[in-house]
Amino acid sequence: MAAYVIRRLLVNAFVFLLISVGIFVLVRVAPGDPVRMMVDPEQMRGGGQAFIEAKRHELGLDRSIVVQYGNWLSGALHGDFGYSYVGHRPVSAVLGERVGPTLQLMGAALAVALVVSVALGLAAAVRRNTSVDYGATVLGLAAVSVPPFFLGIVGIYLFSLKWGVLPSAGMTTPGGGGPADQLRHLVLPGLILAFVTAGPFTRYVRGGLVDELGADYVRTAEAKGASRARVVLRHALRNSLIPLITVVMYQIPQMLAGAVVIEQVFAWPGMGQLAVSSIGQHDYPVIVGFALYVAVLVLLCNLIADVLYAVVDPRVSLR
Amino acid sequence: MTIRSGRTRARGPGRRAVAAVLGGVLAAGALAACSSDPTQKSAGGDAGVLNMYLYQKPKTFSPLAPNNGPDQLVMSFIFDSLYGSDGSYGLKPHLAAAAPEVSGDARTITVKLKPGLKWSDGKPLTARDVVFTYTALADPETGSAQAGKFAAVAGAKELAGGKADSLTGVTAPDATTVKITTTRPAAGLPGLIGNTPILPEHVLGEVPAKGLGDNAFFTEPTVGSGAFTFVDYKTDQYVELKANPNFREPVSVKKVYLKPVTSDVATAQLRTGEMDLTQVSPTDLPTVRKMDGVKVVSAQSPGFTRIALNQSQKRFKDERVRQAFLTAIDRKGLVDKVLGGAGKVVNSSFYGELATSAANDYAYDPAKAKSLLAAAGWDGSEPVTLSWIPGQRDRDTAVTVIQSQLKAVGVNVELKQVQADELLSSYEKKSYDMALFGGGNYATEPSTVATIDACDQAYPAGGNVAHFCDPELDELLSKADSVADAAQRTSLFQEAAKVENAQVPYLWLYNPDAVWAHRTRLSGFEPAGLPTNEVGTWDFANWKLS
Repeated sequence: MAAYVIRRLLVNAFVFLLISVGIFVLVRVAPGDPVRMMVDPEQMRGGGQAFIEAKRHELGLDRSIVVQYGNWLSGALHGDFGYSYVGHRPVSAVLGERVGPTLQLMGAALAVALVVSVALGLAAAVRRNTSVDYGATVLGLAAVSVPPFFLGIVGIYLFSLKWGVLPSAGMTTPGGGGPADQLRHLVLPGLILAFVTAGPFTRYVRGGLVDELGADYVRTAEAKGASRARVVLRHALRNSLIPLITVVMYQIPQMLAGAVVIEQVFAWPGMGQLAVSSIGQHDYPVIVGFALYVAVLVLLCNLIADVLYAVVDPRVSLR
Repeated sequence: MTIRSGRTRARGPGRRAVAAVLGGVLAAGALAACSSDPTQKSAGGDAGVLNMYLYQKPKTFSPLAPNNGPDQLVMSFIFDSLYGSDGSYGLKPHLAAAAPEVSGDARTITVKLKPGLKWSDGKPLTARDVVFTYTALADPETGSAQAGKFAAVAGAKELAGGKADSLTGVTAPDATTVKITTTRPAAGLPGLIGNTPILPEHVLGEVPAKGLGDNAFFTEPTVGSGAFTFVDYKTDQYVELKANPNFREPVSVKKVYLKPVTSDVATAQLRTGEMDLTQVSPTDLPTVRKMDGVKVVSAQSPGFTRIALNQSQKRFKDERVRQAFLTAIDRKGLVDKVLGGAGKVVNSSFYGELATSAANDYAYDPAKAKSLLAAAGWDGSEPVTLSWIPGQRDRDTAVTVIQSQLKAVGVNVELKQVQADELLSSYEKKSYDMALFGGGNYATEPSTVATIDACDQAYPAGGNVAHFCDPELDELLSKADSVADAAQRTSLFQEAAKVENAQVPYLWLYNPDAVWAHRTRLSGFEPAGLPTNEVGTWDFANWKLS
């Protein structure tokens, strides 16, 4: 197991390097000039041209892309991912302060999504081809197909404007509020992200459980006189949840994509908002930093999924 | 991974763990449901605390950086300048005691400061702070994007060229006097640099010039001279400010939170009371007017929405073509229908009384437009591309109206959505046909019209993106800058407006009003035409919260 993990980590490091080259080149060949964008044409008379040239030199953008990448890589290996062009702060600090809010949003949404999807999937599988099953399927389908930004806008309209029970945006009331205040801000974006995430989970749980309930050991257990509840919960459900681990791990990077949209709608100060604004401003170092962060997340989640699988299912061996 | 066959013995999470998670989630939900204090009470509505909308996220709080609306809005709260402007864009003394004294040859400008000025930390604010600030701004070494504004000041060339490390033309003969000498007549200089935020020398004086602009002070400028003092910028959430007890006038608002949210959220929060003061897009006006406890106020903006015609192309060089385009567009209809009446049609880049001499009003007249085009020998078979940056509802609607109205007079317009940097590079390559954009402020200092009209200001040297050129207009504008007498300047600008109006360097569409809405608990707020308050129009001392 340890050898496998180390080998996978080494491969991942190599993949990561390839990804960094790809992102670095892509970001820089995309049309647009981050420095020119900083200066309004009306300001060119006010020394804009000189500013642009000086800034370009300061940021090293007047060098070849190979040299730029070399500089970036040597910095990155020392943990220095450069400075944001906007506000001139280290990329690690800019990303760092937004990891927390995004993790909070995703963590809460994931917990709710898991509980809801297991309950719904269980009900749908046990009461197959009844109104419960069809209801769960329709809900799951709606979660997959309704765009999160639409849900967000509808949520704000109903819960903030019409009924006035929840705040309309932000993570806290300005000036801070207690944990209760933070929680009230989290409810709407968290539940919407949870709903969107729970859709695919529910279908997996239902499908897995339906398969397990048809397995031989279930019939055996029932023949030995075990109660239906015991059979479903102790045996079938447990076994059917194993594939869900993989699904959840693969879904986490997907959730980040959903979080980007939710954060925009709810002015949530997380990674998603940062990604959108840095792309708009061609803030190269931050875009590269963010993309690599996502790459690490995907690689790590895949590795964790495989390892966890081996841990919970003795039939699986890692080689 | 490989699968071995065999018995499965799952050691997954037990029932207890699931129960714990479930319990936790339910408890969280219950807690959220129980704290049923309405939003109005917890957010906003607090005595002395003002929640205000910021239309974009700020980048930095530095007067050295390139102008950026949201940054300037925040800076107008925390820094003060020698002059602000009154409602009609005349200079209004802030740190200065009175209007600037300009010598007869317009080469010496003297500004007296008010006595007893203080920084927010209690240190005295003197003429030396002004000298320090102007030197930093005129020196590109500091990372200043504003050095060009000081080109006329004596010693600016030497400073910018690295031959000197001070700005000889700006001196402080005593603690309350600033003296500026120039190498050429520059009567417009106070209007050009007077509203620049003044920086504290006692905080930044020891920092080397090189890289001064990247100093951490500009991320957290906790010492200022504005009505409010910077407390904190919670990234992406809000900028927190508190009243500055050392401000030159007493201020009654105790705290300000500037919140960068989308305009939709801002409008929603205005209704719930989470926002006290916000800008409103003209398209949202009907909704906002219906809100209880909300007042809508507006001011005429000096910046206009316009279309540049690329005059490096032969077909747009003939002014009859430009006049025809302007006559073919029903601009009054645009203001009425697209802006709901919240705007004004203009016929020159000059503002207010200076523009009154603009003789031709280019009223909507398709027949006349056709005959002008025929006289100019316009070739209707060649398509014309109209580029614009999408996202502002009034502009998105206006382009389609303009497209159909130009089509009616035989101009085949194709619409093209572009990104900001794409548009800029097409200006530089002269590869665009028509571009719709807006903004600008030529009201505070009319000679700045040269930025968009003068021959030597063709982009990227200046802001003349239309590549328009008329030596007669250039002559009038530079003459106006060389006389000190205000009445004489006015008449020269009026003459320039007349020439500009006949030449149509741009298609002036409209000046959209700056529309504001605020909860009625705020009083004393006078709207400014420039929503970014970059020229310091707002009188914070008058703002009261009940």
